[in-house]
Amino acid sequence: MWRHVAPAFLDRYRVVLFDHVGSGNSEKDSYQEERYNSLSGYAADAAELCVELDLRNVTFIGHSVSAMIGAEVALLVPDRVDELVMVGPSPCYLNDGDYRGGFSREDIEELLETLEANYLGWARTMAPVIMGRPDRPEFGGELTDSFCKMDPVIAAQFARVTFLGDSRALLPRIPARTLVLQCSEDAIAPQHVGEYTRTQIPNAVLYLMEARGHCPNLSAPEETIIAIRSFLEQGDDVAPR
Amino acid sequence: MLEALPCGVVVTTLDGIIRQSNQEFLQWVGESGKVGQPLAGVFTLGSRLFYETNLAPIVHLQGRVDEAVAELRMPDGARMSALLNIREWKGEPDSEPGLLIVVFPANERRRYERELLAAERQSRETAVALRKAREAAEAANEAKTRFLTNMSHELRTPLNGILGFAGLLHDSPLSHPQREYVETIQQSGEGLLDIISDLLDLARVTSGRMELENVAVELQKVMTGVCDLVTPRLIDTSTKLTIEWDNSLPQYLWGDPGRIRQILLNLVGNAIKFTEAGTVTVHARRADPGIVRIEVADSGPGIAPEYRDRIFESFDRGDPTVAMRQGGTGLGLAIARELTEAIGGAIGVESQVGVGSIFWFTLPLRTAAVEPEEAPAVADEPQPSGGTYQVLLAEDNVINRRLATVLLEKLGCEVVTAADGVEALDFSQRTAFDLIILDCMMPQLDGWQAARQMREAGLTTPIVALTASAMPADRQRCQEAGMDAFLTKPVRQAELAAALRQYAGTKRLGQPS
Repeated sequence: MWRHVAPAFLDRYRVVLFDHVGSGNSEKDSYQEERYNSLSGYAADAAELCVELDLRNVTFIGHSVSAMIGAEVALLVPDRVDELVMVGPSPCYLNDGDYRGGFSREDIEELLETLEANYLGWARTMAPVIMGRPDRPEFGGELTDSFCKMDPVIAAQFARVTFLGDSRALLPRIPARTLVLQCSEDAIAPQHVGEYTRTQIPNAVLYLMEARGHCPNLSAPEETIIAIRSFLEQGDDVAPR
Repeated sequence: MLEALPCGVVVTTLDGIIRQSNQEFLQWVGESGKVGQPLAGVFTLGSRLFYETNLAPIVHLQGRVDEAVAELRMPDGARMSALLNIREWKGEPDSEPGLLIVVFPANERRRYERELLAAERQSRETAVALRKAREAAEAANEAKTRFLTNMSHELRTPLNGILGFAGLLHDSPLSHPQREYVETIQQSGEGLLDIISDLLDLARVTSGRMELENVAVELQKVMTGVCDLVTPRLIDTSTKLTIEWDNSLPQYLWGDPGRIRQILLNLVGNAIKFTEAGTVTVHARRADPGIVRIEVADSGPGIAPEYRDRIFESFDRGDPTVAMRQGGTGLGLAIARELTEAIGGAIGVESQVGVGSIFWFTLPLRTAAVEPEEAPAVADEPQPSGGTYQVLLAEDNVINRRLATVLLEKLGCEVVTAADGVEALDFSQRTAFDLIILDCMMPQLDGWQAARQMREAGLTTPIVALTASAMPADRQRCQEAGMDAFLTKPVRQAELAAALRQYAGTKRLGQPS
């Protein structure tokens, strides 16, 4: 997911990329249903990674649900995580009173059913397609495979944890300086959700991207890079550490 | 051209804004499918989540998606299942690259698939339930086998006492009726012992825990031995027992002599039991290539066809009237079948009522080239060449201890008894014995541990193990503990005498008195 974006930061930063347990090239055996029954399990993994690799002055960049995992990481190891970049975040996908996450429980159930159909039914969508792309040689079979090879049961639990979770209470406690990258016309994380996230986090800015959809890291890597870079450099200028 | 296609066609920008859509597609989704709208808007909310979080990234990564399932939202609020094929599309030379999406209606297909998925989920659940039931059944069967094994051991110990003392009583001066009573006790006891042995055997073979030997077997000798063993039973009948041997068979073949003997003994024993006056012939011959067939033919009453298939089942002796007449557990043939299968053979019966029966079993014919060593010639009775044998006997069961003591004393031994391994170890260090006999299962220190410690202390006295179980693994355990021989309970005078002869005797002969 970060193939286009990560290389741009190698000049000044150490870049650590990882697959969440249960997806990509992670060890499938490490997946335990209880541990990953909320985002906290994933956050604990990432925090452990920070400690294990002794990472300092970390900028945690998370897309979509990983943005909220990043929020928990920032709370777990506040002395290590200085900055948080949330790409297309939503602290809660469900509508709740005045809060408009955009979806009802029925919508999420329908998503789960669609997932099941695409994993287990006739649909071939989620069957890993390993093929070269002559026009885009940077996509090896490995990457394609990595995104798609997810156990259907894990995928369903992950979707449930993602879309039924509520991380709103975390936001006011996030100590890290935060960038919210908001896409235009994002059907998953609409602009008012981005605005909400920004206002709830004590030290946050929102950047409204021209990129449309939910995956600017894939569809608009250049704009994503520029936005993150300027946030990081601005940090250097304004509050040198 | 797009309008003529019999499916929905949409072209979007790379980031999913509709640039073109055909009439067919617009009929399904209405306003939301018009140029300038985001493609995500044509889906229901659930499918929109799926599109944005799964499909769109895959299209970016793979450049294509085949047959994705998604739900379209129709203008009247109804849903329509659709199959999507998406390709990244270079477009016309003068236009931007984008995505080409072909949409097929799939309501029927989805309905059918939902039913199939539900059925599959149910069959998965059924499979889990079945597995649990099977595991429970296996556990119950295992418990039954364990119970049977334990009970058989428990029954053998007192029976050992009954038979042993009945034997001693039989050898003492008795009146004629008293002798008959004792013989009845002995016969009943032996009968009971047979039943228990059968039960143990069956438990062992059906639990799959049977250990097989593979040694050079002299088949003809096994046949002769079995016939010798049953000959006493023919004394009161006019039945004749003969052996026929096919000379083209090799003298030695690889196999498990104990199991072959057991199967044959079962079949021959049965044949004699059911043939009141007539012939029983044991015949070994070459059957198909690589197979030996052993037949036991009798001129008995024969078996009616309706009982023939069932006689190899446990506790089924076919004709119930026969069972009434003949007694026994009905386990013999079931055990024979299990044993035959275990050694890689087959078993069966051919019979004609009023003419007789032929019970047969087969063995894989694997010729053994090596000839086993000649057994050393032995004297009939132990010959203490100077005074008496000094024997240390360790056995925790009081009755068995007394029985073995009496038997040993009758063989001319002086016996020192120990009630457990600790005592035995203590005595072995203070006195020199000609032979040490250790029960295996004893409190404090068991027989194996005691033997091991004796050997570690440098003791070279022959040690004989005494045990209720005769599995090859137990024998090996005794060997590993440094024991020389192995006697199974109920212990008999002849076996004790043989052990004395072989172990204590040679030692004594080697020592000038």
